[in-house]
Amino acid sequence: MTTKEAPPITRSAPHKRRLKAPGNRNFSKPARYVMLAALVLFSGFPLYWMLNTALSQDSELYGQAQGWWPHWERLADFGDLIGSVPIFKWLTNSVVIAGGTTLLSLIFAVLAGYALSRFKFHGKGAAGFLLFATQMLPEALLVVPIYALFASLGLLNGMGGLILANVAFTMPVSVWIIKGAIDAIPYEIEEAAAVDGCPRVTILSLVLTPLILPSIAAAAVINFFDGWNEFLLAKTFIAERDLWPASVGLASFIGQYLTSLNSVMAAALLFTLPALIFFLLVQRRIVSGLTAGSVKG
Amino acid sequence: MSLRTSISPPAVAQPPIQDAPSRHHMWQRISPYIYIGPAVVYLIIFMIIPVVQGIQLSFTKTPLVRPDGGTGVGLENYSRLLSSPQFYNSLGATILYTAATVIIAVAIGAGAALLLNQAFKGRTIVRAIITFPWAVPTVATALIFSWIFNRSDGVLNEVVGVLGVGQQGWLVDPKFGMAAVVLTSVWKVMPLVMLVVLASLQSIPSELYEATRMDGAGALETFKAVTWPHIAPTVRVVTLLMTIWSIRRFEIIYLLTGGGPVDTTNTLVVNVYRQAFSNQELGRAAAIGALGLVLSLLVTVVYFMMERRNAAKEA
Amino acid sequence: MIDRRTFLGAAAASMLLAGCGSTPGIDPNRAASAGGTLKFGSWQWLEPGRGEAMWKAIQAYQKVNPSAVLAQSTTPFLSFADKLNTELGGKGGPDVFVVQDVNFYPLADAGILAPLSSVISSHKGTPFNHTNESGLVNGVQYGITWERLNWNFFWNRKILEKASVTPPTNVAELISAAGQIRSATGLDGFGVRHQMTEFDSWFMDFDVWTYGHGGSWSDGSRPTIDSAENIAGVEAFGEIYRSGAMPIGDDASTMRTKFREGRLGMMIDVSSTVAGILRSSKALTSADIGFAERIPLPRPSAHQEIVLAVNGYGKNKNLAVDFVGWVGSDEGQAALRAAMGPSTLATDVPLAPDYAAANPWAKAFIDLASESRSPLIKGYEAQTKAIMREVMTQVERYLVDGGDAAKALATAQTQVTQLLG
Repeated sequence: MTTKEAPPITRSAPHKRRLKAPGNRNFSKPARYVMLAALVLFSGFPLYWMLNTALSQDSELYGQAQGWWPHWERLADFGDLIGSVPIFKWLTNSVVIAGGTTLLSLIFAVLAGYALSRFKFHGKGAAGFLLFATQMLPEALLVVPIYALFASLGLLNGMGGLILANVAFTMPVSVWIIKGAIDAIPYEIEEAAAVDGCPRVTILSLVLTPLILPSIAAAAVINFFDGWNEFLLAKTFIAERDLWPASVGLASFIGQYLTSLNSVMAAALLFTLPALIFFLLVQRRIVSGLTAGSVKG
Repeated sequence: MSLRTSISPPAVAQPPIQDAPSRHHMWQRISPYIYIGPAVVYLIIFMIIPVVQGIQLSFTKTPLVRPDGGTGVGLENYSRLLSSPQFYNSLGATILYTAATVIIAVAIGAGAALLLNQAFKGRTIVRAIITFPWAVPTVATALIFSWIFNRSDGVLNEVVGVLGVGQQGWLVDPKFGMAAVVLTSVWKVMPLVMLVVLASLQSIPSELYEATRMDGAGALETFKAVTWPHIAPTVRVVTLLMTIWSIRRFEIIYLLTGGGPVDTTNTLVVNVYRQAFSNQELGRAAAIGALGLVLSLLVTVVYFMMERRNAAKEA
Repeated sequence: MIDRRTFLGAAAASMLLAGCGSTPGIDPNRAASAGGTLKFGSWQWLEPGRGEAMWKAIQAYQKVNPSAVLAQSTTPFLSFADKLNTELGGKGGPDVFVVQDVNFYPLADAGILAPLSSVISSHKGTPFNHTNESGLVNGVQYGITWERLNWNFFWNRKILEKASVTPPTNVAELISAAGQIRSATGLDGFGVRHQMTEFDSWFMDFDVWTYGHGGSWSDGSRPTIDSAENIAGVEAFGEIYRSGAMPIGDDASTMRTKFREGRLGMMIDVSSTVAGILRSSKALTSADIGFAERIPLPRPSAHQEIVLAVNGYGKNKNLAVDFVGWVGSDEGQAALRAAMGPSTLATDVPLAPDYAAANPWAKAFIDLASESRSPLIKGYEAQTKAIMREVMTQVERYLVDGGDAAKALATAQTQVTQLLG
């Protein structure tokens, strides 16, 4: 079995090496496919069920008659759902919040990651520990103090304030990823640029940043999803319905009286799709971005 | 992987870039602080100060609607907590939830990464689908799983009904509440583990595999000799991160069970929220939060001690 | 070349400036006639049909005071109380808002709300009814009734006919009726809330059972959780829970939807639920709703009160108070009556005749307001939720694990005493 499968690694072009790495060969082929199928089922079924539920009618859902195959013909009814609530506004808000969080987080991350990687200074260990320690802080504990802080700074009921709060939670992970990526870049490149008289800032922006782009992309995706997903702070800090991000908008469907489950699921799908599409577009980059930092020089 | 070196100082000394002497000397001294400053100041303002306020709160009795109108009660909140069975129930629930979620998620995630490390037809699509849960918003996750777990009309009961098991209240029965919440959490976080481990796997130079294969090693020996040593640091770091995040994870549990049934999923964080917003006792909430922080710190300290021992062993 | 000290100084200064500039320069004592924007916070704006109707109804205030502008502040019901409390804790929040009485009381008690004494003293027209006593805290009127929702017992006539069941008049009949519906039609017989996931609403629902047996949670000076009447109420509920005719695990929203789809026989719920069901149902009409004059329990039941209050931190308090006064006036009440449906309002405005004729069940709900009891616990009003959390935790344990109701309530009594002590 294994001999037939052995790919001719030494003969393949160097840049393809990663993809063809033989990896783990603990399991036979059929067993592997079974496990992969189970994983796909596990990960994919809830999404499929969301679609199925969105396309079912209440009489089917509560009559134990929810079919296994979606009623595709009802896709047109999604239009009713869109008409009654400001869904596109909410999605736009989510994009703004997630995008703003990502941008600000990355700026901090590149600066701080560079500092932690390339400098020696007093308090470096403390700074590193601070970044790590804040990952332990739960939002539930911080909601009220941050709210009071924002109230006094006039940051409430605006997406700006929410972005600022989100960044505090997502930034440390980005710092690590960037730091790891910069660690992996051989120092000689920067030295050469410095000898040419290049100031440090320029080195960072024009030399290093392009080299660590995959890691920046990976950090960007992680940040974006954190911002897209965020619910607790968003529901507390934003009062106006028009400024809600999608997460709060979705929760608003759970009304006090009657919830139409199919509408809720349709909304859930609409809110999931952009994130899914975005993810599909960049998924290749994520793996290479996370890998880039791990090649030890 | 890189994450490991982020936490301990790097082993290789990096000489600072030599700027032109004397005039830029002061700039050179303070430039690290300019780079790291924004991040640090930011975190101090938005995280540290609120936490300090939180800890101060834990020594008071403060109503939710008057956060600055508290009266000091010293250690009363803590002594009350440490002698209440409800607190230990929360602690136990947190530990159980964290252990189960982390172990299962890391096992499945690492296993998935191993499976996906090898090329096969349709690998990109399979990898994409396995990673989907990460992109689904938390609120949507809670909603669909609530429906799947629904006792009378949910699909899970339909399936197990066919298998002969009776209708179960997955979110209602104290026997199953924790399992349901763990399952949902694993579903949500496993992709991130998978991605990180996969990244680490794909950085293993293939010459290493060549070498071991030429030595006649079988699959298991290859794994032990080549694969595991390479990914072990990554797996350890991701386990630590997952642990810390699980201790503080709130939304999934709160939206699925609200801490029930019968307080079986009332983790420390859910308890904090309840004390703060339902009972309107900020002081007690802060005390629980502080104790939860201690738990996280303990976990971190244990991790670092283990890392140091490993580093000494490897040296 | 930025010196570190200058940098930090500039940062601090800009933050201070941000803080200073955030509050608008409105004189808090400005007169109502000067107008301005009022933010009205509620979850009800989201209610399909009724939310829009209510909003439109109160726009009539702008005819009385043309310089006033009303703006919506909407939060979904599940997060409404938490969010409001957080906002008020930060000295912010909407200028005027509605809030359930269990959340209203702590706010009034803490002195956060603006007094409405002027509203009461300058009120003309139909007098305020007794429901407004809920807004009286520590001798001062801090809120007026927005609406009072009473619980009542109602059913789907068609299902009961199909199962040949006569409407039950006590608990034992209720259980057998539910069982019969289940065996005859396969549908769920009876549904009420029964889970801690819905604690914020469940404890008020649950009062129906304990109050219905004559129980109270306190006698004014000490908690009486484990009284015989309360035990009877818990046991009655337990019998229904275990009868198998209730869809265990469903939340209220699901059960209401099932009722609307004609898949649930009987319910105990508030009037707005019935109105909501009828408004959105394709299968049920008003004639299909069978109703009782009262809940099939010996003693009077509970109500849920929604109070209209003014934020003490608001920038335009006089305008807000003026608005509340208008809501209580004949004009405001008439406008609201048309929009609200069958709930009891601040004054006894009768239902529109055609509405009453089309919805015979409505009057029963309204009449129950005369003897219904508040969920607030006497003597411990501000701690009602905290107390009830202990109680309902033990009740849930009893329901799910079995055991002895008396013991469950005794445990609750101990824990509540500890909590209050």
